[in-house]
Amino acid sequence: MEEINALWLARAQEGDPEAFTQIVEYYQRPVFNLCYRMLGDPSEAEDAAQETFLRVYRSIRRYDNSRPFTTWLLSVAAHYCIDQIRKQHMNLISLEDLNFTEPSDDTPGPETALSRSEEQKRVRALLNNLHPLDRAAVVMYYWYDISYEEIGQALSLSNSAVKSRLHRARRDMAQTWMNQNPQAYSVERSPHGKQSPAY
Amino acid sequence: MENNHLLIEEWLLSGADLDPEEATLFEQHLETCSSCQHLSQAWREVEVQIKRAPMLSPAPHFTQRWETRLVAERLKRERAQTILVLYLCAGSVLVLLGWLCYWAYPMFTSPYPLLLVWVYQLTVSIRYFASVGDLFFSVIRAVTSLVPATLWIALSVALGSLGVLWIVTYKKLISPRRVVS
Repeated sequence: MEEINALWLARAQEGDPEAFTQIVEYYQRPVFNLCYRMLGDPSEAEDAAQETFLRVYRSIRRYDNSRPFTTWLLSVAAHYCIDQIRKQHMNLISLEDLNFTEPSDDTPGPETALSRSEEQKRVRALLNNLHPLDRAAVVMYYWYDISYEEIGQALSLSNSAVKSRLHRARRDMAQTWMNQNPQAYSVERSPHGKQSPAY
Repeated sequence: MENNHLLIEEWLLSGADLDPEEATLFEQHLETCSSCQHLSQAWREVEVQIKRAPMLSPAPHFTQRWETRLVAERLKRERAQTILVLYLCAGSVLVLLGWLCYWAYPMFTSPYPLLLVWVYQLTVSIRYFASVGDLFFSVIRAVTSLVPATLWIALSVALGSLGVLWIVTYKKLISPRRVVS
C-alpha cells in the first residue's frame, strides 16, 4: 500500500485538522476493509473504523515517524477489532446468527452481485473460525501485502510467531473449507490431527 | 509416515519455494496420500477465495461522518470537564461552608465581641481604600497634565483597533474548518 504524503502527516502531527481529514479520506478504505474482515458486519466495521481514526487523531503526536504510517494505522484498527471481538465473544456466535450484510465494493454491474455475495459469505465464514490474532495476521498478509516483520510489529509478535500463526490459520481455513464441502472431501476430514503451536 | 505428513503440510501451507528434490518428494507424497491431497486442494481453493475477495469501501461520506463524530466527541469531553469543574466547585463550597459553620459557632453563643471586631475591621478597610484612591487620582492628574490630548485620542484609537483585531482573529481561529475533497 502506498504511504500518504509525508507533508500531510507532518501537518496532522502539528494539529492541523484539515491535514487529518485528508488522512481519513486517504485511508478510509483500507481501515474499513480491515475492520470488516475482522468483525464481519458493516455497521460494526464502520463504527470500528471511525473509532480507529479517533484514536489515531488523539495519539498522532506520539506516532514514531520511523515506522510506516500504514502499518501503525492498521495496527490500531486491528487491536481495536481484537478487543471488540473479545468483548462480544463473537467467535462463540454461530455462523447462522451472523448477518451477512455487505458493504460496497468496487464491482459494477448487478450480474456479478450474487456470485460476489456468495464469495463474501464464504470468506467471512473462513475468517470467522480463526482466532482474532490469526485473523488479523491473515487479513494483513493477504489484503495489504504486508511483510511478516511489519505484521509482527503491528500485532506485537515475533517473526516466527507470525509465520506460525499464518500456518495455523491456513490449516484451519482449509479444514473449515473441507467441513463446508463434505461431499468433495468425504474420505478424511482431519488429516493429521495435530495442532501447530501458537505463540 | 506421520513425520512425512507434517513435513508435507509445512511445505504446503508455508508457500515457500521447494528445491527439486523436495518438490519430487512432495509430489510423490501427494500421489499416495489422500488426506494431504485433500488438504492441498482445500487450501488452493481457500487461497483463490481470499485472493478474489476485494478491498471493501465504507458507505459514502465516511469522512463527513467522522468529522461529525469528532465534534460530538469534543463536546462530550468538554461537557465531562464542565461537570467535573462543577463538582469540584460544589465540593469546595461544601468544605468552605463546613469551615464557616465551625468558625461562626462561637458567634451564636456570644456575638457582641465578634461584631465589634468586624466593625473595626470595616472602618480600617474603608480608610485604606480611600487613601489608595486619593493616590491613584493624584497620579492620573499629574500624567494628564503632562501628555497632550491628541496623544490620548491616538492611544485610545490604537487600543480599540487592537481589541477589534484580537476579537476577529480569535473568531476565525475557533471557527471549524472543513476540507472539500
